[in-house]
Amino acid sequence: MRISSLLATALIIFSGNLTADAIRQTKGDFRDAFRQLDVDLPTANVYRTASGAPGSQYWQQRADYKIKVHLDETRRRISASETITYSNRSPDTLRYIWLQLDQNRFTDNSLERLSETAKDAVGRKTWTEQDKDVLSYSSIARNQLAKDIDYGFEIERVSDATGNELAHTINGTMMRIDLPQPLTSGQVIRFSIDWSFNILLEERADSRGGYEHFSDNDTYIYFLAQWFPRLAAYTDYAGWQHKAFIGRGEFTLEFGNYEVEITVPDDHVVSATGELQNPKQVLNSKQRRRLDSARTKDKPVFIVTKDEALENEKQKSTGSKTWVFKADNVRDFAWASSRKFIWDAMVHKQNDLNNPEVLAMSFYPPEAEPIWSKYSTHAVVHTMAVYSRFSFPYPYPTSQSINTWKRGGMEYPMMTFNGYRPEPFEAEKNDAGEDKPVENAPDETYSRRVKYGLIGVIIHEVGHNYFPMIVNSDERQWTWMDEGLNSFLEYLAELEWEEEFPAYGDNVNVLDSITEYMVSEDQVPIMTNSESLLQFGPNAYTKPTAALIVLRETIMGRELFDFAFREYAQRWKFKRPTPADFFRTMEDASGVDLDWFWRGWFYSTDHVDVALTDLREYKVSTANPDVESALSRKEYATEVPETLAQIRNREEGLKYYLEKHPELADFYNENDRFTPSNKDRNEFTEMLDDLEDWEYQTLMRAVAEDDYIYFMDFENIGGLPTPLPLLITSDDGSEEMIILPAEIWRRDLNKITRLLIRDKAISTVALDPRHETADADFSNNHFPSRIEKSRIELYKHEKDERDLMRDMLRTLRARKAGEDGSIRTVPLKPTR
Amino acid sequence: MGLRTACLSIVAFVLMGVVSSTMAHRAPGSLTSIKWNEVSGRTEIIHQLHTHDAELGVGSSLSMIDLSVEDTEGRAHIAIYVEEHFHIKRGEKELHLELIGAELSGSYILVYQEFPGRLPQNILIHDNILRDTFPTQINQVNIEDGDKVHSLIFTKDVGWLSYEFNQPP
Repeated sequence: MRISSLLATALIIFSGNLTADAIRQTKGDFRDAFRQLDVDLPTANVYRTASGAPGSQYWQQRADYKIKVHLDETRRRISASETITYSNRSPDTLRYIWLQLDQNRFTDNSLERLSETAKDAVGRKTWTEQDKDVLSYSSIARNQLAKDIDYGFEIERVSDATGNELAHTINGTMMRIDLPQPLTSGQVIRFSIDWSFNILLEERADSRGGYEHFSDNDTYIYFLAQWFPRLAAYTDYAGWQHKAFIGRGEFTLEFGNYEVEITVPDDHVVSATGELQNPKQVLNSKQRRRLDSARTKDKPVFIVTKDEALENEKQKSTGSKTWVFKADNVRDFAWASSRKFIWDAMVHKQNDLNNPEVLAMSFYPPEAEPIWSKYSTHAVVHTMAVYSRFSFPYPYPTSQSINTWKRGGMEYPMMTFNGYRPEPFEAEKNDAGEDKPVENAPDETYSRRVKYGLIGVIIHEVGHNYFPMIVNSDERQWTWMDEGLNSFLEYLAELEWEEEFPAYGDNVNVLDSITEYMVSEDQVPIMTNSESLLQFGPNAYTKPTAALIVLRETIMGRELFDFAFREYAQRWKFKRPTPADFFRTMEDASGVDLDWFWRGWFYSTDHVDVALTDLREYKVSTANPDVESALSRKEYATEVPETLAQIRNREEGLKYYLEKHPELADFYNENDRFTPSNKDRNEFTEMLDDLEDWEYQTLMRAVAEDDYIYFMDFENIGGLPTPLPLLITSDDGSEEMIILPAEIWRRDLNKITRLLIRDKAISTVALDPRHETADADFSNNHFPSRIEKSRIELYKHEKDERDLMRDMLRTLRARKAGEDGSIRTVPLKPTR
Repeated sequence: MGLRTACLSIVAFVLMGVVSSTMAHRAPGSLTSIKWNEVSGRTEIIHQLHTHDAELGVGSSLSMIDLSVEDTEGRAHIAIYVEEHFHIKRGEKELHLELIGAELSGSYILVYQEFPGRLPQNILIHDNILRDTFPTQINQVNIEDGDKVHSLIFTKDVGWLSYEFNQPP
């Protein structure tokens, strides 16, 4: 591979191969993969202990919000005002405070827009880019959107509790408010902000919130997120977390109580973080009765039915209603509003005195049926049941799933925006080829993939209530701390939904699917800042999931892992953990040294690939020439068969010369080369005399037991230390599974030889036969070695499937060519 | 020099069904692996797409709202779509990759292509799979080169990327 010298230098420094550090030296090839991690983790202090728990003087700030917001549906715009009560619980004096203005990501001059280049997107790469002058439809559509309407926060007023203007400075997605008086430790300040902004068409802007337009019947769903100026976090480890929001690294937030008044058209139904405070003002008596009934039911009950929603969405009311919500101890607030919403709810009961009942609810448009009423709310309940077992009881009064788009998901406290809708829907036509009326349109079918996709995305997003909505990790800094831990628990919850749940595909093990990513030279460690991640999904979601599964099922075992994981969740519930707190707690609570594991899986780009290179069989020799000579003769006979010519001579009845002259026979004809001599016997006696008593006993016992001795060679190709699960099959067909711990690599990470003593002969050995270590190459995992067919070779083998596909490809190509006009057929008319 | 105004043709397909991208969930992406198979003497190219992305994205591109990976026709449409959006060139000459077929593997659809023999030492790759449908689509192409695997990453407006094999054919 040719690379420029500058880049080559950068790469070499990055890989660390030629530089000395504590792990790799310049002399020799020893690599200290088991070096303890403490020297690299932040020093423990009074805020965070060396055991991974919050320290004796742990603190975090607090921000309480009172917000009034008005949705202007005709202009697709909100205007709002908020009063924030900010408590300085840090030991520090603050002269200014920072707020997050996430909508400013969409302004024309945002850091994200200005820093967008194709090269940037490619990242730290050595490749050259060519033919750059291309323009995609999505790029031009994004530009048109920005040309037509101004986006971003319009901050109208910032004032203190007495109404005096406060000086403020906007820096991209952050705003600094300068305080007239410094805010000392323990003090509280109250201030107000008035603002408005134009709501984005979400699908064009990837904005995590906005509106969706259903062009068939000109209806809308509004879903508002990152919609109010929110306090930036001030922390013991980073001070103000005001790293700009440029799209990926999500949110770092403070806990607080919220009271939010949402004014919307009076035929809208609103879903929001927290609990509805004024049902009498916004719901009719039938809806209130149904909602009360749902609080006692273990199956979803409709508060708004599909028929009612279809009726509702035809209207365009001009009146308005104000929905009031309260939420305590949450780090954010989101809401959704539409006249399209079907609404169902059921109760989730849990074994927790503080919060025995949670109301699980779903809101979705008719286009989402029939699958949403069947699965959404049940999936919400199932998520809480499973996640709570692995962490802590769900602490909030509601948990909601809202269908706001076709694809993907996004999480907020008590609120999740989820995708997946049955298809087709809009495409239904009547006989004349016109669109059917919406009431009759839904094709009430959905595919298997949509079903499991929906359940999966809801589990994932509702699961985010635990990580990071409650275990409040710093998302802007570390994506894996919420996405990785959450994807892992999502996998466990999916496996508990039903047997054979296609969590990572029907038969696809997550440990098998991550290896393609992990073998690449071009990746960054999990411990990389969110915005610098090269491959977001595999790095922050799948690789941590795979790592934790290896830990739970193979390295620690379920009992130790589950205890330690729960301890981490409980220690950091409603607090802000850092990566070190997770690493330390998992070791502290389990008593397992995992420093090598964090180093390998989280701090390096090594992968798992171990080869079983050789297996050599021995028996303990008696050393007694009279015994060994017979064995040697037998062994020689099996290894070196009699020559064919000699066999045929005998078969032909050939008479040997020696038979004709028996007088020629001597000592050598009576004794072969295996016959022991007296010299051999003397040496044996001398050897026995030299043995210590215990050595003699050991030899005699080993001879009596007659065990098989094996030396197994392993080579570590991928570089990650890994346990070695071995399936050993004996000659008699019996099987034995053993797991050699990863510590086997601590003195030599490249090659090791393992001794095994067995009373039966081994016929085959398979390394990692259950695919539990994320081994990237199974072709070198067997003794005797096997030839593994490639995926394409296996596919070619399935003749029927292949023939069907070949015919279909031919048909489609022909059809396509015809449509293109390249192939035309002459119309023929039968003449008789 | 005065400003030169050129007509820039808009690439690829028209945005049909609008598709919202993924947020805090699985990011939209495809993974392609290019491996030399010593036994068969062919270069194997395997594209892996999440079935949901493939159904929505290819369906939207072809205006086939009910495209399904469950049937052979749906898989064939996706295979042809992939063939049309993934190209390898040597200099100016495009290499012919044989489309072998497509099959499901769990939540993924795998599309198979082969090149007879080894790829030339210097190649250019263009991977436009689903990039115009999903603005945040990231396509990774893993190239096995001896005992190393190198990746090319296609995102946003990235065009052709070049690769030179370390291990000469």
